[in-house]
Amino acid sequence: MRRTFYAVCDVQHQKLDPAAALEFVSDPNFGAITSFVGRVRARNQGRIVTAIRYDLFEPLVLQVFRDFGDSAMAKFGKDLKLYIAHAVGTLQVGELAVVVAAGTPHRDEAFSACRMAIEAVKHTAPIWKQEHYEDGKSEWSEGCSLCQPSQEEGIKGDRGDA
Amino acid sequence: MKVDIQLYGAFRQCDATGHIQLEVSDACTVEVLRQALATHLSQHCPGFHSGLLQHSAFADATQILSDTQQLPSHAQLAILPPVSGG
Repeated sequence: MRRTFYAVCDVQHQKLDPAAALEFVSDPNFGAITSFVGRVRARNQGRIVTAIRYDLFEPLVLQVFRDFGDSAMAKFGKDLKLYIAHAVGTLQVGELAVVVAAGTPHRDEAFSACRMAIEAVKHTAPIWKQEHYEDGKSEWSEGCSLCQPSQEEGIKGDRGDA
Repeated sequence: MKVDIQLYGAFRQCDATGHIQLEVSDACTVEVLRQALATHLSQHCPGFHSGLLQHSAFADATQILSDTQQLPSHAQLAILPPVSGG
C-alpha cells in the first residue's frame, strides 16, 4: 500500500485538490486526518496582491518531499500516510498554492506530521513566489536561505505568510 | 570545463534563456564558481543585487552543495535564492 504522495502541479493543466489529499491519507485504521491548505491572499505587507507566480526546481522539490517523508516515517512509524502537493505557475487571489495532509491512528501524530510537513515545504523546498501588485509592480518574496550553515551565519525568515 | 547554471526565482531576470554557462577549471569548488558567477553578473546584469548571491545555494537535482565541495563532473547546476514556497 502506498503511504506517501508527492507532486508538483502545473496550474495550467491541473488544480490542487484537497479532497484527493484527504482521500489519499484515509485508512480504516486511522482515526485522525489533518490537512493544511495554503491560498493566495489579497494583501501582503500592506500591498494589494493581484496574483502570485510560483517558480520551483522540480527534481529537488520532489527530493525534499521524499526526504521529509522518510524522516516523518522514522519519527512517527509506519502508521502514517502523507500527501504533499505544491502548485507551479501563476495563481489568482483565492487559488490554492499548497495542500498537505497527514493520516494517523491518533490526533497528536496527525497534527505534528502535518505541521512539520508544511514547515519543510516552506523552509527547505526550492520554491519561490513572485507577488504581483495592484499598481502593476512585482517582487520576489524574501525567504529562507538554503545555504549550508558554514556559509550562512543566519537564516532570514519569510514574512507575513500563511 | 563548462558549467551550466539554471536560474530560478529572482535570478531569472539575469538571463532570458533561464540559464548561464560559465567556463571554470576542472577542480573548481562551489566557492570558486560563486565568485565566477558574481563576476559574470556584475558584467552582464548590472542592476542585480549582488548580496542575493551570497545568500543563495548551488544545487544539483538531488542535493544542496556546500561551498567547499568540488563541482560534480556533469556540472549541470542550479542557483537557488532564499526560498518562499507555500
